[in-house]
Amino acid sequence: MKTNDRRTRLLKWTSGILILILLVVAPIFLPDYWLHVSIISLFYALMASSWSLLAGYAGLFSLAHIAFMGIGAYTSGLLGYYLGVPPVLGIIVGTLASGFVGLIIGFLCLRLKSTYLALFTIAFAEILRIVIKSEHMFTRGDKGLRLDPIFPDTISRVPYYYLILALLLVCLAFMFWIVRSRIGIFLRAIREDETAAAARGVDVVKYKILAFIITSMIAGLAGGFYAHYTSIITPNIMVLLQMDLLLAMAIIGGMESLVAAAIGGFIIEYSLEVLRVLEFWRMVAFGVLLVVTLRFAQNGLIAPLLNRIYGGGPKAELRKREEEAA
Amino acid sequence: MDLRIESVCKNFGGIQALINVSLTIQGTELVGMIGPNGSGKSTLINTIGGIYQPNSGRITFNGKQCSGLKPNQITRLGIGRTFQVTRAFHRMTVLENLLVPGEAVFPERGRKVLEKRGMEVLGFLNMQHLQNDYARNLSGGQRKLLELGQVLMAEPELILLDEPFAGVHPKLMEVIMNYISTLHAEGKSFFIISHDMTSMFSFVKRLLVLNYGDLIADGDPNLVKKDPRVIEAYLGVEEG
Amino acid sequence: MDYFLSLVISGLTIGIIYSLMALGLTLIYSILRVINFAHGEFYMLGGYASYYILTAFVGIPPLLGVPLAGLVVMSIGMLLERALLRPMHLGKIERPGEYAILITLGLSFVIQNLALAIFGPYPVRPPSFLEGTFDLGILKISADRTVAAFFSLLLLAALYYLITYTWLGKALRAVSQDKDAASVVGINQLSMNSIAFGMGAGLAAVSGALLAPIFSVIPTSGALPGIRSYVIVVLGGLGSIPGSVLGGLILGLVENLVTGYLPDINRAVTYKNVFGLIIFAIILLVRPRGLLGREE
Repeated sequence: MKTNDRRTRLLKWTSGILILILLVVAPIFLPDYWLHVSIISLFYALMASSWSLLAGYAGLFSLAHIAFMGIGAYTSGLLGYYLGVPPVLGIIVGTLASGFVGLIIGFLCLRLKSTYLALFTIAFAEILRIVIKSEHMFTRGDKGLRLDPIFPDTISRVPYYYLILALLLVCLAFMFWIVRSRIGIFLRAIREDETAAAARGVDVVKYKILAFIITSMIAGLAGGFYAHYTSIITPNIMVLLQMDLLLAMAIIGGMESLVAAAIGGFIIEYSLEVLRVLEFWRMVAFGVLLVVTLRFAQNGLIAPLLNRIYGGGPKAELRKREEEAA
Repeated sequence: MDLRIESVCKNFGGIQALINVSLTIQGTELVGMIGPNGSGKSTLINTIGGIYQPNSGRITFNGKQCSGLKPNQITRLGIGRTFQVTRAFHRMTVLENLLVPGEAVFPERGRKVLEKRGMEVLGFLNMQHLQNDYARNLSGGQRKLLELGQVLMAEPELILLDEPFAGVHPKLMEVIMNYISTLHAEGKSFFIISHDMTSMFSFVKRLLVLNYGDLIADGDPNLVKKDPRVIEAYLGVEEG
Repeated sequence: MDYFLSLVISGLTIGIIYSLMALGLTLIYSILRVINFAHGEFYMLGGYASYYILTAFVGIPPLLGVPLAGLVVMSIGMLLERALLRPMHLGKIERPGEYAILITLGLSFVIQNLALAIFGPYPVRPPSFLEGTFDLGILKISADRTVAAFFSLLLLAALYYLITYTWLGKALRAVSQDKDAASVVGINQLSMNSIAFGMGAGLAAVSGALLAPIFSVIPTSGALPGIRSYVIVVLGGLGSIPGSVLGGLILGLVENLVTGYLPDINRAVTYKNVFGLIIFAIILLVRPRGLLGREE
């Protein structure tokens, strides 16, 4: 048994380091277009994993995640456009703004059960999108808001790649820390049974709001990066169909695992690019995959794979028992 | 330990679940409460536990007002409770189930200390070998014990048990009663709701009877057993 | 005063069509206890179905396309329910509450993209039911809208008759009130689920088919009507049929009146959908059971 655990840990560390090395040296090999795809895919990995923290761990199925991304993007963009605020500062303010709105939404949603929470967050996201679109005199609406790039002195994408990679790794590390801490235990308890969690001493209000604040800040940060990378944003980044895609990524990856969701986001976005020839059929394919995953593999497709390789997860204990009995 | 329930009333729409219920539990007591189905027993536990707020009257525990507090605050005050239908965190391990109240009530102790304490509690319940099992894989009886373990992790002075013997195998009932006796001897007070009257009459030291929101008896089980009001409440006729 | 009246009439005529779609959502909720997040997509499919039916069978009167589209989408709805929602009621799904939300969201995603892939992003428009406009003095209302409104009224009346007097209607009402009691008296819950879901989808499709000649159809044209139907159903009260009808009329009125009286014309048009959403958000927070809904 001990050698098994040691072997697993060795496996985890070596594969982790290998993947890290791969990610770090990738820009050397990748042509410009694929570097761009990688950047966007890392962005989606960040969005998907942060959503999985909110939905998969805390059980809060918010459909406003993309809206928080939009808040980060537009806050930073508008500050830059009207007040000349430099991108880095803008992104920081955007992140805080998303967190603040996240606090408000989290507070408003406290008593809402899952269906009502979904409906309310849809309403919030749509109201925000329509307002941004309608106030086009201020936000430039569908014409697009032009933003300054984060790295104005270079036309190379490489710095952006390393920036989003760094953001992803830092945020994942942060979320990992949260999950392993008592916050993680409380959030999972809340998802399992809110009433029981409260009876066991968990301050449900505080932790639900905390979950919203943390995840909306990460979404806002991602949004700020996205805005100053693509240098132009329109309200269409916040459309409901995009939220559905994000949902698909996290669920197909495995919404109860940060890493699986991140991988799901990365792989699906990459695949969407690879399959560009199929046009709208690629979305259909992933939609069908989503439905099939929900129906037959509620834990996702990547998460069970990771569990098989690295151990852990709900089936592991049963498998161990079977092995011992045999 | 001092729990005072003073003239508590609770209604739901038109239904009066608790009508001017008053009682005091002090020191180390082993109190039982029986009553016909729907008489408001669970409502009383839920009201003490903070899930419901009384419409009038108040509840204090060790001098502190607790009617109006949220369930998690009441747990921190030192009152633990179980549920009629066992509630455990199904997709978390047994140990994690114990860590929830541990971390919630004693965060300052740190994970390692709490894990050790959790193993001690599991040891007391003879469930150490189940520490990494997911709660949903446990049998019904094991889940009941797990819930008791969760309550113990919060180190309460008073434990409210909502139908601990309902649908339980007689052997397990014995086991649970033994645990209760042991814990009671160590200084913990119990307030047990059950409609299994036979076991209650002989097990508890003080018996209350709730009849559709009305507290109609409070005292020595042997005397309560013979109280005509109690008999009428259960059988609808006076025993001749 | 004339202006006000004209707004009221146009609000009511569109409102009654909204009601029809919301009724479908309420029906699904009452029987299956599920909010169908793909409801808007059935509306959109209704539009496409009537377009393609009328294109394929050139001679038939355009209005006939509407019930046919309804039937087509109703069948699709029943199939989807059997494949995706029935397992939930058979206990094969862990966490059915979450599943219901996610699977219908997933369906919404698939259907929209499927429509984009098959039909393409360019709008199609089925032929008008009736050309021209009616001049009522105070307002001109297009013949299409009038026909659509009348059809809706007729259909609502037919549904009322169905729900109140027929066996099916009584069975549906029984299941919505108490599933277990209904099955004890021999009503097959699973069949009722499929029928209710199909009917709900069919009603959304009928709304879509009725409004298709007026607004034309693109794959994403179901998104806003879908959200509108949630607003109506929550406003009127989840599970309440009169509530859905009332809610639809109210929403139609509110949209038209606010748009009509807002001083800034540009904002008025683009914000039209926001008013409903704001009311919606407030109701969810303050009185989730809406105007006429029952306590959960």
